[in-house]
Amino acid sequence: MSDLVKKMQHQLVAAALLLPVLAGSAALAESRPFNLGVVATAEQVKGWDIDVRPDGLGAPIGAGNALDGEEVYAERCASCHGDFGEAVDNWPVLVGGEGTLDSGDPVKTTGSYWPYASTMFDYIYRAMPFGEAQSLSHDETYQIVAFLLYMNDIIDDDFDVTHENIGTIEMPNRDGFMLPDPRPDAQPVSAKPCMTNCAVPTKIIGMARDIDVTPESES
Amino acid sequence: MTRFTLPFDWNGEELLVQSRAMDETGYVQPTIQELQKVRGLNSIYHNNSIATWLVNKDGSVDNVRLG
Repeated sequence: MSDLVKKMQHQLVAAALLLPVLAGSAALAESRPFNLGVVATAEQVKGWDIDVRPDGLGAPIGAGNALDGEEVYAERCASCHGDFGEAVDNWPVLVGGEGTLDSGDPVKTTGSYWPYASTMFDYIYRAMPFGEAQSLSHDETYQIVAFLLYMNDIIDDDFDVTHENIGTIEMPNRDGFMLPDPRPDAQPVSAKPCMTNCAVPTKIIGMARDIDVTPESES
Repeated sequence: MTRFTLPFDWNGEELLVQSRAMDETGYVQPTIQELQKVRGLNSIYHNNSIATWLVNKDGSVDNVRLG
């Protein structure tokens, strides 16, 4: 697992934690039995409420095309993701990967893998550039989305991606996902799975340390 | 997910540690081999299989895979 995947997981965990917090503040508004906290203002809630759903619901007003996006991308994204989305070092590749998903070395990009263009807006605006999250304007985010869609041969370079059409852009891998979710998919072989003193392989065939995914200790 | 502690005497030799969870529905955490059988080798997210930890002689701990 790459560092970036772990970073992304942290972002996802942070997003998942947000809901109970908001639900909690709604409950507080009702009673506040311990007189703790303050009721979030509509403006504060609005600051958190930045999700863009697959059909584009929630996309903020704005627009951008790839021609404008190239410059923004070069300035804000290319140092990690490469001038053409080919990636620098172990940062994620953003362009290409068509036809590789069922191969031994799948390249999952927004072009080859992601089912919705709207999620690109959500993610980029919410989390990128890494370390400077939510420093992009709405229009800059639309421009970057457009640039990446163009680089993945999904739209033309002068096509304006907007809040009105971002939910309707057809992504190549839109139908590449299994529904309903088949998980839990792995069932124990035995009806009475072993819970103590189990006969398991004891030969070490891989170490996380060797694939360099464990963060260095500070000390 | 429940955090738990299970004290035991360690003799200072290399040691492999695993735990296996069972949830309230009776679902039992699969082994990595059972998970790979249905997911293949390229699955990244939602890897809920049993993890193995190697306690080294110096007390440091590594995440390892057994086969």
